Amino acid sequence: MDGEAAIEGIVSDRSDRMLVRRAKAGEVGAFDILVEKYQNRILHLVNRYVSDRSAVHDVAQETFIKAWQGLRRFRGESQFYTWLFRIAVNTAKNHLTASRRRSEQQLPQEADDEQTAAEPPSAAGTPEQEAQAAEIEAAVNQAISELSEELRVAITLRELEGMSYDEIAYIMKCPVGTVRSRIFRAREALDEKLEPLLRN
Amino acid sequence: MAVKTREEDMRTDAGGEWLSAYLDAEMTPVERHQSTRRLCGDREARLRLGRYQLIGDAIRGDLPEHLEAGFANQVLQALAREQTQADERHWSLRELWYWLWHPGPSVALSGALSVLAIAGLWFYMGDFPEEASRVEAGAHVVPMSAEAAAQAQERQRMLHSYLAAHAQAAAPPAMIPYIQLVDYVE
Repeated sequence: MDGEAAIEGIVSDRSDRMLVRRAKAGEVGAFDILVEKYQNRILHLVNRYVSDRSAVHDVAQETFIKAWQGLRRFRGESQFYTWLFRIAVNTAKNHLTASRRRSEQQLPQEADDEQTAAEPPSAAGTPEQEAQAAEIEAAVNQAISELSEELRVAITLRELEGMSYDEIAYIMKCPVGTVRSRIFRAREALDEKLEPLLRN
Repeated sequence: MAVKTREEDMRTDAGGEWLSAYLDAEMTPVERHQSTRRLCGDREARLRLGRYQLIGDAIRGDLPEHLEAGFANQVLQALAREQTQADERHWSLRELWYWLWHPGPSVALSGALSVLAIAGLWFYMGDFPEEASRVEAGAHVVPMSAEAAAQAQERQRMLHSYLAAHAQAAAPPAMIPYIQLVDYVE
């Protein structure tokens, strides 16, 4: 099972329906959980379309605001993430169209230079910001290597292979409750290692 | 009161085994329902859930190029601003609704409108003859020549006779003939 399947496993989480229902009733906390859950994936997705860092942030934020405003229209025929994904793609495309139009208006003297007018905003943020994701990934990998074997196997099978607790219990020859506890302890240990990084 | 350490918190599971299981959707429907309710009211737990999610994304190499610290919080603030604006709009609509449908103000409003209408009508009726007489007095009528008057009379006569001749065809079927257009002689 590859990483994509693992994502799919999380995406198909039935708790999303419950959260959507509560968010529809106006409970902002429920929507906050969905934001916490999907923010990285939406930022990642938007980043594929929009290269300007501040614009990535704005487009991702607009995506969630549109989702909140459109929740009443979400009938649950598709998964919440699929719906959110579609909003993000449309918002990113609209942003690109608008920014192209703006640059065409701002540079009328260069209108004949199509390359200039059609070019997306300049890529990348500061080196510090770019380093942050890599730094976190490195810290997580380092922390995983420092975990005891049983915690490392449990968290890897769960996050990387997307296995259920039952499947992990079968592989590790232990009760499901133990798997649950091991995965939690692994996450806590990793979180502790990440805390200083995230605080900075 | 002694503050619990992280380890104590972990031992008692007050900290989050349920949160970890929630993220993995490894719960019974009842547990999931309870956890969702608990999470909705606990911002700290939601932040922790966000960190667990971040760890998972980092393990899979799915972190976005540009991480946004406090992104969810900013979304919430933006939503709160939207909500305030929506509430203001909603409030003005409610006020309008109140004024339109609440018995007291609506009676007062309709009373005031009635008084204004009556006063306006009274002024209008009072002014009208005066205005009319002023127009009558100030009007400068140019007398029509005898030839022009004869032509106008002839045109009127022809029109009347045409209308009288064709009234039967033009009138609606249910109309009683004698109230249809008839010719008259001045």
